[in-house]
Amino acid sequence: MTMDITFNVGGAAGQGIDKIGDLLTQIFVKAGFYTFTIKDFESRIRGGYNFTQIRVSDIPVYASNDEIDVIVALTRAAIVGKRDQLVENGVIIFDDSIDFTELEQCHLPLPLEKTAKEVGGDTRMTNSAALGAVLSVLKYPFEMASEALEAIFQKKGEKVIQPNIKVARAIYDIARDHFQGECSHDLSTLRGGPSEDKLVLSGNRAIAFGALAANVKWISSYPMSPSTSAFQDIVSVAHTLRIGAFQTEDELASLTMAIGASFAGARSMVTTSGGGFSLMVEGLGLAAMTETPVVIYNAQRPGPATGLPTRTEQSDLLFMAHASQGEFPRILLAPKDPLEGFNITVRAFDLAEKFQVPVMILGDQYFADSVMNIPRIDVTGIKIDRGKLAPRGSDREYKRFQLTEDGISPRAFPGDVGKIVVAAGNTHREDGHISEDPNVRNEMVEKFMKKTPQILDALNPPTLEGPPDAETTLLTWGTVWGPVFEAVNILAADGVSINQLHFSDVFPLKTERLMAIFAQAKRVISIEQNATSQFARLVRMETGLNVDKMINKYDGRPMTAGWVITRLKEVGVQ
Amino acid sequence: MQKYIRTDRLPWIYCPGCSIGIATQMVAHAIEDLGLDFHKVVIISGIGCSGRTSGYFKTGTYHTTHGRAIAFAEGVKIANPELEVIVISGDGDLAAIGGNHLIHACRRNIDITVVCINNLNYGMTGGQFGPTTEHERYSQTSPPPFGNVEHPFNLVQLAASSGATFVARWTAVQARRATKSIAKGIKKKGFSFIEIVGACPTAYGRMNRLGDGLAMHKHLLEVADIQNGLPPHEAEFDYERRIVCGEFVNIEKPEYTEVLRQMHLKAHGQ
Repeated sequence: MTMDITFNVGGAAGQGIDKIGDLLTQIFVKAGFYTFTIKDFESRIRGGYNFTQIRVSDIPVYASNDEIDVIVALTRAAIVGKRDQLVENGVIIFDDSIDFTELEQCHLPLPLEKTAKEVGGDTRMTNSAALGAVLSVLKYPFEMASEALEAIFQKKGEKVIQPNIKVARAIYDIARDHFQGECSHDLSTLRGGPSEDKLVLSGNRAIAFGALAANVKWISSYPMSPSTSAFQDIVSVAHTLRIGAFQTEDELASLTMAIGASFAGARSMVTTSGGGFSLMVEGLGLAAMTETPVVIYNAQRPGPATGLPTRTEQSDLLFMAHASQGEFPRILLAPKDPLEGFNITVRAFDLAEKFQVPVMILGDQYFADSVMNIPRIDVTGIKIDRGKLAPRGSDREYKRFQLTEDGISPRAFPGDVGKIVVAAGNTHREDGHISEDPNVRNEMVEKFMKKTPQILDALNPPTLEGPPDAETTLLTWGTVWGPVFEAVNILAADGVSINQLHFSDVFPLKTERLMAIFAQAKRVISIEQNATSQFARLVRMETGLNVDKMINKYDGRPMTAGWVITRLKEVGVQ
Repeated sequence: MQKYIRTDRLPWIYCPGCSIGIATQMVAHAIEDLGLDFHKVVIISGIGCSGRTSGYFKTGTYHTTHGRAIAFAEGVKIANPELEVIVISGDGDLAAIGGNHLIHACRRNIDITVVCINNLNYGMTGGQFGPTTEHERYSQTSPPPFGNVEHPFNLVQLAASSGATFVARWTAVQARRATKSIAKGIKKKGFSFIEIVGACPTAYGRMNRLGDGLAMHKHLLEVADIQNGLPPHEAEFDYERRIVCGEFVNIEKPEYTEVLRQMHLKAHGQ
């Protein structure tokens, strides 16, 4: 029997829900467990009902769970908000100052804030009090927690470490004495878990780390949820790593500036969400026409317009695949989890410079804010490929858009000795000067079109989980991988003949393996976090193949394996 | 001029009597006077008649999308501060669709030089009113008998109040003075904005019965009132009566790329 516990920390915005969540995550990561955390919050500064949900297991977990074992509630709304998802023998811990009298066996009111003040001398230690209470109901060995807390607070010094541990201990004891109910988990014999994965990483941070590992030298962005933390992570080290990190007046400027910086020789990127990308569309065309490499990260959220700013959706796929007037090659990559987010970002810069095209990374709020612990990443092996560069030295005949066999021209940068670099957003000749000659136009369009087959060769094929000859194939892309993967495993264990065909490199679409699997499967079901099955439509457009059923989720909340299985049963998969 | 201008791109695309050719010469002369290394100069322009200027220079050039010349130029300059970055574009490109980039670049004080050729309307698209078209003037989109409903920007005031460290205005007929100001602007470590008031006889001139190119340039000479050092808010622009010309702002302020360099050094404990 594997261990699989879900904690939910709920309360109002600004109450420190994340802090308690982070403490819980770190305690279990340090003890050797796998964690997966989602953040569910409203678009407001204070108040409302937000929560962080942490799943802990001794096997790797890739999604959130529907059933909750322990709830820490900081407001009345949080006491009742997730009651229906609480398991039998679940526990709801809350501060006894909250006016709540409809007590059931699962409710555990405790003097969290009072103890923080009396024992620790500071109400800010209520976080540690809540932690102590959770550990107590689980009968988690306190010595293990205490060691972990020392490590967590180490940077802040003894004055912070000891009072926090004391507060946690005090509540741990009070809860043990007061708790009348039962908890679904008893960890009293726990000595540690099998996980060596110590790097705790959100999707956004993985994108930022990937960019840093790829030696990004320029980022220009405008703050927009849920992408902002990726920008902030890079800004925070910009001076040390000599990165131009620029907060612009709008997204029109963000992408145009990044193209300017790239034209001048810097590896460049922008971060945004769909609404910001809408403004960047003009720049996308400019990057394409002037063959200036750039990486665009879009943490998608439900639209149109402001939509749901802090929620999740995969609804910008076809928009990004077709954005801008005109026809040109581009690349779309959609990571399935933080580790892949890191790797895809590293690849994105190389692909952009190799093919001199815009490369777009499609995350979403679920990906951006989800936190997992993953193995430490070895960045020493990362090689940077800047693509074709013009040889150094004087070349009076240098032409930025020189026609070549493969359609890719060697790049030079303004300021290079002995070369003049000319480019234009208008259709241009090899030397970059404007031309309306039909032959030039044909040559330049054909130059663009030569890139696509080479890009397809450079992209990764889809992955297949489960037997190739399964009756049912689930078609997924991007961040729904996790919950669908878990659902496939559960169903397969029940004897269902099922597999999952998953795309992380989504555009241009690699079709070879897709066609083979479609030919083998009795039925193909697409599962997407949008209303119109955009990826299934892309597949139909590129191959003429139809999926048999489409499963869609568009309420802005992430999928779980349980949700996927229920929907699959509805369409007859068993 | 052959040293600077791509003769293979001639003849110009401009109409007879247009001021853009004169403004192009001004920039070329300024580069000559300063003895700049061609390989270190990037001339960037937006869209429109004036936006086509970049393509005539033998330096590195980039012809951006409409309104984005300044945003692009900021990227180039910060990525490689050793480059001399000059933006040449029109009033519509820089102050309407690109207005947001203009004011924020002024505020940031990035060391680029913007030469704005103000011909009082959108010429390339056939003469529509723009952000500098005076009240009640005629254009394709503000036709007679009523004319323009809106009121114009005074670009000198706009740039000065947005924080530009060097601001000047000349008309196209004051070529030598304007050239000097452009050179000063390029030399200035900071954001420089030089407005060149020009004539568009084909569109604006014809619709407002201002005469041909020669008559319009003569008029500019008559109404130009040189008032160097006048506070920018007094730099009046009244096409009929008085266009105050001169250098209005020349102040010192920490420049963006220099501040950034200092911060990078500090981050490395230097």
